[in-house]
Amino acid sequence: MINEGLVASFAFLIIVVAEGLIALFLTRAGKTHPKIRKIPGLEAIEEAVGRATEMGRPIAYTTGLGGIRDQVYYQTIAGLNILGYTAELAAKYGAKLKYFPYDPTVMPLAVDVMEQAYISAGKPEEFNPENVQYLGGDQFPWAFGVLGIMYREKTAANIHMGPFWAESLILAEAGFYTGAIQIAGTANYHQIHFFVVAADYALIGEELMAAGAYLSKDPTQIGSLWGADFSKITTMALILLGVIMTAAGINALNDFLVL
Amino acid sequence: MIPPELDLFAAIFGVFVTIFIYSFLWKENPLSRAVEHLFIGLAAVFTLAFMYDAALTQAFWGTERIAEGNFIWVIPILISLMYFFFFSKKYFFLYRYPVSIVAGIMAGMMITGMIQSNFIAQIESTVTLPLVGTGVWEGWPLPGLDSIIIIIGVITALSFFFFTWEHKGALGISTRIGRYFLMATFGAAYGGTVMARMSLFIGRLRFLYETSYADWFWAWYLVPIAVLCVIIVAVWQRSRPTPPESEIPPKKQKSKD
Repeated sequence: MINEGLVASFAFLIIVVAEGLIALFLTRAGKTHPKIRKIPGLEAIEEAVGRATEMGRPIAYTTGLGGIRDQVYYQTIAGLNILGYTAELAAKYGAKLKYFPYDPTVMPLAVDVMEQAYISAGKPEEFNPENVQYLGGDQFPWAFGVLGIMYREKTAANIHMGPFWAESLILAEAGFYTGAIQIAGTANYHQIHFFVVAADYALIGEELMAAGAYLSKDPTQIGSLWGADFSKITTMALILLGVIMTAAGINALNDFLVL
Repeated sequence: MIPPELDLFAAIFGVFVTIFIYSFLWKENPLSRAVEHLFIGLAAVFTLAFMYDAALTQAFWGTERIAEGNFIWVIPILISLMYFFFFSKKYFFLYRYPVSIVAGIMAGMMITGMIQSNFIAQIESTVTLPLVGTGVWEGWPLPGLDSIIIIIGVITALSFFFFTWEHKGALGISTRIGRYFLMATFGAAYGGTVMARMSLFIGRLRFLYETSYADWFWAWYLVPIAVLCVIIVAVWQRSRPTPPESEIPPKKQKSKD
């Protein structure tokens, strides 16, 4: 019934989903009130928007090379979540926010997200759909286009949130030389080091996905995040147990993991 | 693939485009901007052509086309067409259906692979590290010590990603150690990637140096001409009076309607 080699995955999936659902329902029911630790990168977004407002210069926002139809779609959605928050702040302060989608399918979503943010801020008339600018669906032309605009328009803040590949250093390094405040995050572990080095604030890995809960304070999302923390405890416990068992010559856990 | 008869054109074009793009390192200038726009335009057209080929060509002219009775194509085509409701004020909400369907499908497809690669494979790799046995604590570097460092690194780095507990006390110590491990990993990865980028740069230099056409034309003949173009543009740009920022008129904002 279950494919060979996937029994352990299936068992773990059940455990993770169960932990997530229990945590989610407990939080939604108001029985627990987990608090999310401070994430400096997200706190800095308000500072970046404020800086752009004071300088009268735009904010450049990108969500990397992700779409909604690829393996990293969850990072794109996290990036769009943060885009909504940033757009709402930009609308409140009167700053100009420019978003550059890579994938054409993300473009209408971004327009929708930004428009809703401007409506939430009570300034729907200030939303300009032309601030969502498509720059071609190829990696380096897109990156070159973004950094060209960053230079020409002298952006006050550059925010990059989503899946990034080889263009991450191009954007972060070129953005650094424009003198803009830079906030960047990705869960692509092979690229995050570029953001850590070149950006003022970096969101590392899962911090990007936690942003939705952090910014919205929505009990459902916070509950889901709490559940994810429990799945990490389960993982740590399994690792420690496995290490001790393997050192003692008991291979039961190892054998189960390859089932 | 470039046809052989276009080799000469490709070499000439490649040299100028390469030098014009590198001129961005000096300053954003009209030549780099022209190449940037050309690059973006080509990418947009390429994306359109690729999408067309991946979907419609297969559906209407492929071996498993609709005309052969494969009506399954009709479902994704109709769902895709719902995207165009984005331009309708009345039925705007309908564009969200294809988005939701695609995101849902991806979530379902991904979850098995994610559990396998992000959890099971990680746990398996960590618990099978050698801690006891012949040769584990002999020689240098000690394989056993490596294993202990990796296990501590995995556990503490994982603890850094706890979000609903304050990083204080024992957890604070663990997350701090985890952060050091993460930074050490990032440093090593950064160095490795920079080396890879250098090899890309060397590849481009080799293109400039080695590309030839019919043994009489070498691409690097054009490099000085391309550099001269950049210098001319630089001088021209410097000679133009630039208005102060306050005098630059703001762009007209267009409304959605």
